[in-house]
Amino acid sequence: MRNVNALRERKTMFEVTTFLILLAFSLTLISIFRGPTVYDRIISANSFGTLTVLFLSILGYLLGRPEFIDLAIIYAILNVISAVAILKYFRQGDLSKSDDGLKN
Amino acid sequence: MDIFINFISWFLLVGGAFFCVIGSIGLLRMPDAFTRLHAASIIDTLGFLMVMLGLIIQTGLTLTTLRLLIVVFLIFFTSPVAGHALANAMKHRNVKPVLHEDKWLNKLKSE
Amino acid sequence: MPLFLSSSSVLFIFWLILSGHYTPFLLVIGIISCVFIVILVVKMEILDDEALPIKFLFSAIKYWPWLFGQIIQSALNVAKIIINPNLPITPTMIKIKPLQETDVGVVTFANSITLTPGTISVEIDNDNILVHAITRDNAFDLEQGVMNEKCKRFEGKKNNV
Repeated sequence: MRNVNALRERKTMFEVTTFLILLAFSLTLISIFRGPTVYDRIISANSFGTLTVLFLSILGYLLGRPEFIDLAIIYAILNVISAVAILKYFRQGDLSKSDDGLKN
Repeated sequence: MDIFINFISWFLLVGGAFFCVIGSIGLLRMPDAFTRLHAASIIDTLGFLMVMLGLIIQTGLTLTTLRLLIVVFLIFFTSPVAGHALANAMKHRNVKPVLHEDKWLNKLKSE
Repeated sequence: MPLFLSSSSVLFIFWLILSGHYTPFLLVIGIISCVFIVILVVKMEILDDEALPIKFLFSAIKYWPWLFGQIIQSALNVAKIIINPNLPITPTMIKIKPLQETDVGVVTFANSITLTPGTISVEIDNDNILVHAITRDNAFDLEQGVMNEKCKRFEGKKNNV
């Protein structure tokens, strides 16, 4: 009986956290659509990726499937790669150029 | 003991998610891109760390804990790199940050 | 050769953590793929001292808890600023001269600055780091140089450079 109670309490805990993170998700989405420059949008998208990592980990606990953390690891790697790639594109206009050509 | 652990992870999980919400409110409220980066780094550091610690305490000592630790280290090594790349790209493209002195001068001019 | 062995064993430990299935067949496959990857890396000639910074492990154990304390403190400060309805920010740009001598030390210092909410390293010249701080107090705190000193100690003695 006590075990069932503890399980229910754990579930509420994860549900409350998921709800708060979903709230943060929607606020971040608003700021992605609102951001005046490209850079504001990239910053918001980067935070959105971090929130996705958190959300995937918690979803694994909520559904009782810890394998979701592997997905979270992949998202964490992809997030950084995409941020750096987009920034390199906007800084140099070309993904294959090295930095040396820009210094004068 | 069980109650104690549950209490700590309640605090960490809900506190961390709360800081995530604060960080995204900051993304909406801050005036320019440089200050927005500060708000984003709250999500990347404190919010992320607290939620992950809460999950680690909930799990106990299994293989999943090690995977969570890998995620934590990954984010902590890569998020400053992404932040620095963002700030550096803005500097190169001549995005002017709103500095305190400018605001002060503008206020003096308008009065 | 010791670098070869240590990096393949670190890769293999990572593989063990991610895998979770321990049958002899899979273990052998894992060992083979780890060794193959390290051979590829050696062929690309990017395996050097910085690829496996084990010598910084002890100084990292001393430095990271302090850094985490600093992160929590300044994150709470920035959160207070965001909640405040007046939004009392005073954005400031300052230049800071890093005391460290090696590349690893300077990178650690710049990354610590960026990791702490409230300060971001914008650009690294030859001898200065341009820092954007959200309030003037944050900039002053950084100028006092406590973190700079700690990173100098983290880097340790200047050896084999």
